[in-house]
Amino acid sequence: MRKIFSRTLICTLIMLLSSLTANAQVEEFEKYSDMKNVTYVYISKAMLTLAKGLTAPSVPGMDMKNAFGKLNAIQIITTESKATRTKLKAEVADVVKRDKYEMLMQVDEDDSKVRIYFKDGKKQAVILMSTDESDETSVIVFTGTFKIEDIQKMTEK
Amino acid sequence: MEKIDINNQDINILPLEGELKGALERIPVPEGLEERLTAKIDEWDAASRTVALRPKHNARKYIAFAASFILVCGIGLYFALAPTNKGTIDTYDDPQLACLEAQNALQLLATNLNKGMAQYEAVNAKSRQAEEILNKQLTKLN
Repeated sequence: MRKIFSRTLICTLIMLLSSLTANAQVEEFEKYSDMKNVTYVYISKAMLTLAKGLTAPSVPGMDMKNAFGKLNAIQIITTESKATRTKLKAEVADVVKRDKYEMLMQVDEDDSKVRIYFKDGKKQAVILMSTDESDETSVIVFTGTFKIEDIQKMTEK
Repeated sequence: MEKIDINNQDINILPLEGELKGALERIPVPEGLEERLTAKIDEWDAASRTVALRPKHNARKYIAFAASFILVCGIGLYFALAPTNKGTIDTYDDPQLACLEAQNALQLLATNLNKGMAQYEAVNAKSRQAEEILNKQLTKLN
């Protein structure tokens, strides 16, 4: 009886915990979905799976079908509001520092500054790309099961 | 007539009872019988208490099982039925639009990665040029 009880409890707890940890996106950016003057786009794994069948097999420099298959979610946050831009940039800096992201690329041009960060977590990898332009700031977060080699392939034309 | 008989019997029983009592009193009581009897009674009492407690113990187990099950299910249902954060709801219902957006995002990433690589290659080429010039000058000097 005790065995059945403990087994049931353990199974239920595992199911519960797995449902809680199934979050695919970077949670810090979720709050921007409710903010004014912010465009927030979220594409889930389910939608990416559906979209995988519709995408062009390959776009120059990238195997789209392969890339779609490795993604768990995409978050895109864009804002033109001065206050939100400052907040978003600070948020990115915090996340990068706290979660120990690695900087992959820094591209500074006249009117834009692009930073690409990468984190290879135990459960999933994250690519965070922030673009700061004169009138707009945007952050794109890709979460998935890709490796640094997959990113390297993106640069091979 | 019957009443009279009963009365006669009553009258006859009384001396018999007295004799029985006397006979019983004459039987020697074994030593420590009282203590042994008390101990036995206590033992039976304790056994009956254990028997009485056992169902209570089982009931507690079932209650604990039911309570933890309800608790776990309750927490699970709370999270399952709680209104989902807007940040985790798909922006597009149409996979075609989602596909275009995802494709654009990935292309933007690839473009920026290639820009960075181009800058790196340009710097690398300049550095190689400088190295070659330096090597030539060093060869001349030698």
